[in-house]
Amino acid sequence: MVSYIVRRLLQFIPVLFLASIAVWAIIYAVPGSPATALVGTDATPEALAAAEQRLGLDKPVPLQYLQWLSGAVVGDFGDSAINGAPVLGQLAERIPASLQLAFFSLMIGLLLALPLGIVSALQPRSVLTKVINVYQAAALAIPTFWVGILLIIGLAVKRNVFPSVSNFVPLWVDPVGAFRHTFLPALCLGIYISGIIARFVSASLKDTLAQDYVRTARAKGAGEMAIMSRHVLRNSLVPILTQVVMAIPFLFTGSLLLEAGFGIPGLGAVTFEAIQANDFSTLRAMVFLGSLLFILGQILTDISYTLVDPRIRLQ
Amino acid sequence: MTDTSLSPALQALVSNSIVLLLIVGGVLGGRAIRKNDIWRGACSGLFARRRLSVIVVGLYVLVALADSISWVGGSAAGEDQVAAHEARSLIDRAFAGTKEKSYSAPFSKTEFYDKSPLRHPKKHWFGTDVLGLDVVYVTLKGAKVALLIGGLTSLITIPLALFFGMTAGYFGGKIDDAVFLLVSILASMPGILLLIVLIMVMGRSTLSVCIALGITSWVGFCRLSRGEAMKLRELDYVAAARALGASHTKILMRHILPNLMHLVVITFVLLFSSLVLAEATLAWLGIGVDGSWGQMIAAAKDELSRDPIVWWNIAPAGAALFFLLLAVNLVGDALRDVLDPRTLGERT
Repeated sequence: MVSYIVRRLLQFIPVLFLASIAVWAIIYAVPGSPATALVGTDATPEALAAAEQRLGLDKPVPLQYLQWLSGAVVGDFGDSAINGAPVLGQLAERIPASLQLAFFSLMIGLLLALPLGIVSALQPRSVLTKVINVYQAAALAIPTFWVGILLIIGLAVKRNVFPSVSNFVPLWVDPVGAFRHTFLPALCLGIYISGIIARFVSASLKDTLAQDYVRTARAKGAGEMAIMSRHVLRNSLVPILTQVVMAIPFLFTGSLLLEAGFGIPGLGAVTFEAIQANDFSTLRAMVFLGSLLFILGQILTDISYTLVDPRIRLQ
Repeated sequence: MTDTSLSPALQALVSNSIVLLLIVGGVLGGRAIRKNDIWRGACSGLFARRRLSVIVVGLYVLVALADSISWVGGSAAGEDQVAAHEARSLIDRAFAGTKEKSYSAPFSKTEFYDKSPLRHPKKHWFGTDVLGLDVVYVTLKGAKVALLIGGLTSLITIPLALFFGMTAGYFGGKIDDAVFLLVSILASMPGILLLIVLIMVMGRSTLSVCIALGITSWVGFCRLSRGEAMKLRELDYVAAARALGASHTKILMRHILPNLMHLVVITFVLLFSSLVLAEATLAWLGIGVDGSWGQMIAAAKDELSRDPIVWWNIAPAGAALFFLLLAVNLVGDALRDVLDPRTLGERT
């Protein structure tokens, strides 16, 4: 077990290294030059050349990458083309807003998904399950930004129940205000995520309920609660955990649209600005840090696989 | 959707051959299903459970097919002379000559904007958009785009993901490491950002959107099938098959793959809807496929801030998107129930 974790952590380094090459190269291939983004399209050739030299764009391509990598290793992702401030500091400022939105969304998603999934697995033929099935299908069929538009018009503009522009109010400063400002966007994302998770919770539970050992447990007279907690839930955890962990990066990056739509000053908003301004340093840092997050998530999923299901022997 | 590099006649030919291919494929597939008990049972089970959803999906397919059967020539009604030389589909012809100059109001109401009433020619159910095109017409055209994005991309990505995931999970060791490395590198880049950047690199076109969606979407299912194959290879019947001397290929095809089929179905559905949704998202950011519902929604969203709300441009696109995905998701749910190998015995 320990050696497995160590092995995965060691694998993490080449993956991150190769991913950094891929990230760097893809963004290098984007048409448009960071130098032009910095000095503007109507700058003189001399000013452009000076900017290129300052950014190191006159050097050979592999050297440019190594230069970027050596900076990235110590957290220096260069300066933003928009305002010249260091990229990392700018991103760090925006993390709490995104984190709070992601947290609320995941909570709403899980609160909706777990009961729905359990009910529909336990009573597959009831009317309630039919309603739940339609809800799940509908949750996945509505674009989150479309829900956002409807909610903003319905609850924020027409009735003023919630603010239509969600400023960032830290949870630890003003919990009620944080809830009011985060609720609408978190609901949009939470509904979507609940559709994904509920589907897999019920699929996984149903699979497990059809297993022979559940029938055996019933046959020997075990109570439904004991069967559920001891046999069914434990064995269903693998796909559920995978889905929850896989939903986490989506929470971060998928909120990009919602942050733009609701005016939340998070990572999504800063990325959107970077895309529109051809701010390659910020974009690169954002994709790279996202990759780091995702790789850690993958390792966590794999470790949780072995923790909940000893049958998976990862030697 | 139209590729400007092809001549109109060639466009029509390509489009019509695809329709023919789909019809022939459908007939052959139908015959194959009729011969196989399991699949025939699954199909009748599906019809019994989700008749309405199947019909709705079928309608979308029909609209998309009607929009693909096209030919050059015929008289172009109205003042649109350019159209006479282009390949126009059945739907184009049905709505010929309905173009207005700009916005007009829908059929149901007459009075808008007290001082300068909006044009209201009383022949457009959902009015016209800013270019004067009938909104129903534009919405119907979106069906082909949506099916193309969702269907084509998932048909390519799922077998790829299944192959890599299954072999990696089953064999483990070096193969697993190699696939895991490839998947990790691709999967480690946040999906929507990778999509945007890939489209920035390739330029905005239908093909590049499909390629970008393909590159970013196969990884999730690869991981899922890998995890499941890892679980399955430890089961007794796999050990028994191996003890009997079955080859790896045979074990994979006979013992692992059938146990992954229900996941393939769930994934096809999730992928189809998530691809169409992802395209809508890209359209919202201004880099989607031309003519998609997402683009309609993005174009019409600013109209919502008017008073009274101009809802008739955004509502049909949103509804068309919603009902397609809802129906597809419901069909997938039902398919999941009827295809699960463990419930097959109970039903028959």
